Amino acid sequence: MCARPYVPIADYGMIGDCRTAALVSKAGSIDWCCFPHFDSPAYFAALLDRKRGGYFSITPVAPYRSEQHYLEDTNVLATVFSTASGVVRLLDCFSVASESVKNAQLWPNHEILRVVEGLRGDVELELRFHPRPNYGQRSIRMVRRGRLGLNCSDAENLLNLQLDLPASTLVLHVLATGTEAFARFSTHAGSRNYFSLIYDNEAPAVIPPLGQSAQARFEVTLAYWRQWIARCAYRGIYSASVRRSALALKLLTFAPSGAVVAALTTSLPEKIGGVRNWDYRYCWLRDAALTTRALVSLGFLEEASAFLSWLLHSTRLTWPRLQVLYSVYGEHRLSEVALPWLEGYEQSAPVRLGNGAAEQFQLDVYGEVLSAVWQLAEHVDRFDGETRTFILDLGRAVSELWRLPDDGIWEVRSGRAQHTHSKVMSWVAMDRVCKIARHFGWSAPLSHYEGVARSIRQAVEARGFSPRLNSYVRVFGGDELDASLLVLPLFGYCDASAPRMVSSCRAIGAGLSENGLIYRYTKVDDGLPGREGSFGICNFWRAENFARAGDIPRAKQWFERLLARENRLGLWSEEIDPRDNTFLGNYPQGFTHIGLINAAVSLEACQRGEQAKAA
Amino acid sequence: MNFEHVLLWGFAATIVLTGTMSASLGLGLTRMDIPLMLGTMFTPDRNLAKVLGFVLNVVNGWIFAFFYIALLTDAHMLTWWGGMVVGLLQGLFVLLVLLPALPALHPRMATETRGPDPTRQLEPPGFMALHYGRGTPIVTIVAHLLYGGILGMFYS
Repeated sequence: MCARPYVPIADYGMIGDCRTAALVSKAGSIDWCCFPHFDSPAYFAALLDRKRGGYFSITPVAPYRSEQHYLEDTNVLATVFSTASGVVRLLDCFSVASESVKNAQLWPNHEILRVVEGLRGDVELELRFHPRPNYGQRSIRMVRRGRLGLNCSDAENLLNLQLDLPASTLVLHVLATGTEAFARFSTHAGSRNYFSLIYDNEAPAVIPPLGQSAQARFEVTLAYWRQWIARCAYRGIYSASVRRSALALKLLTFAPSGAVVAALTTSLPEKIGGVRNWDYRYCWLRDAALTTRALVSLGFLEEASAFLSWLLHSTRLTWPRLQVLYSVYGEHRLSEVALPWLEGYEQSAPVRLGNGAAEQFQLDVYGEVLSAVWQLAEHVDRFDGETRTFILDLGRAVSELWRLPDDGIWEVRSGRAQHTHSKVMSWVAMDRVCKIARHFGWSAPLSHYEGVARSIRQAVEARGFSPRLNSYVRVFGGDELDASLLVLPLFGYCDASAPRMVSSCRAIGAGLSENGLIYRYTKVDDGLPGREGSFGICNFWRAENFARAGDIPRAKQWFERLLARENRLGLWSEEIDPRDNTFLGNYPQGFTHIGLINAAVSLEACQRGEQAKAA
Repeated sequence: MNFEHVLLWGFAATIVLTGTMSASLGLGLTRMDIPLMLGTMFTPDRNLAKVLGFVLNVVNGWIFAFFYIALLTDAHMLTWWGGMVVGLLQGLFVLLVLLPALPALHPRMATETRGPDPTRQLEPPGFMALHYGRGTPIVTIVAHLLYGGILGMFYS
């Protein structure tokens, strides 16, 4: 086992095939990858335990400097290593193609394709291949299969690594344990070597050839991503960041069901060395409306429809009650367990699987789901009877439940309360169910729902606003600020330029920020020790508030200050440490990218003098 | 073989099977909707698919009733428990063979290997249809046990 230092979270790039994805470090090491799905057990988990976790690296032997970037308009990651003797480029991707291409030829179930290109001089590289099934709990024995490479079988699962190296330069060892392999090889200017790692859980697995065939798959992959992003309708301000966010968001979608996972990883800490480590490889209904809005506004209607379809059917087992999160296939029992054999990123234990928040009661999800349905309603002719029943049942459920205390959007573990944000989202639910019913001419107790909406608004304005703080507050009758309240104008509850909202935005900026970044909350007992970083999306919500209030220069200033903190790849984590801009929490985080897209789209609309759409 | 009795009890057993599955859907035990799965093989209209799927399901139930009765008669097992044994075998066949293979046969069902192209189709059932909820295998087996049990008990 090789003990290597932990890599900063921001120094990872993501590659994927919309069923699973991997993180590749600036050192050329795949330190995180689960097969066959995002929430399946990891084979490479060095991200969470540098000794036990397993990895697949291709790195220069001599000291080097490295930079990462994506090939333009693709999800193909390039890592350029510069050494004293030369320069080499490592290209990483999952091979992907359209369904028609895949149906016309045998395409591997999952393939990570690594291409090493010599750019200048000679560089000696070392390959280390050390898969460890079940998050590093077990070893996997390797068997040489001649030209078919190394074969690693683990129950019904197969990993097969093929290496495209001239026999004279290949020094491949399966180490004494038979569980780790390495090879050394040299590159020179113009050389090109292919490495193909496939995963399959069906036999016979498709083991695709290397050489020209690998190059062809690589080019198909490049073309696929470029064609996909060409469908992006957005041409406005901060276009490069928006397009990169769209590509990142696409990698977090689960194509077989249409789900969108919150993040690629589990248990990257919100505080280094702390216990705020959660599994985000599931789909949060909370993200529904904002995700749909982002996809629709960029023109990705197919992805938005697939997501809504998943949303409507994954929740079928708990109707009309909605759970906070579900798996990519709609599984709702996601009990939380710790993996004691992993030390955690930078000794941030425990590493958790599953998510206890699944059992929480969060009122806001109803508003978010109904808001997502409303956004797509104008793009469909009608909903089927089952969907109509579901939508109307949600409205009825909210009209009965809205007075109850809940766990709130931030999933705090300190007990339920009357969260102002949850009440506002209940208002959104009532508002949207009425709009949907009218749009399709459905029979529903609309006057009752409108009455409930009025009652919610009265309660929010009477008890959710503190005259002393001149701001909406976290809980009814309380005096704590909360960044979730920045979404009030984003969902159309009020105008961003309304006096109460302007003063709230100002108060939140003054009371919750440090070094220009906003925390979700401070001085609140959330049931956990330690303090977390600034929450990424809240900062984009603030920029959007400025834009919607007509303060375009300030919105731009705030947005650009945020962009200065994204990593070189244009990826975002869940949180950022305001003191040193370190990325914290799970990564890459869809919610933050969604915030960036929506803020940019609103800013562009407001800059043109148009009205930004509500979520 | 008593043709009329096969039709009568085949229909009754199919209604019980379909009713059991539908009740399980309503009770949150599974998301699997057999009429929807069958109907969407022929139309993307979900409302129409459910009606069409229900009719197809009844026809299937009748056809299978002939196989059940022929098998039970030949094996001298024309009893409620004999019917349940055949129902169990069919339930296992459906879960272990038919449903996992369905994405390859169903024109509107996504496969496990779909992607990055997004799906606007039905999600695949997976092994033992577990993608449709953990209760799906049990519900499917129980429904087929009832189907076989009714045929074995009431056919004469």
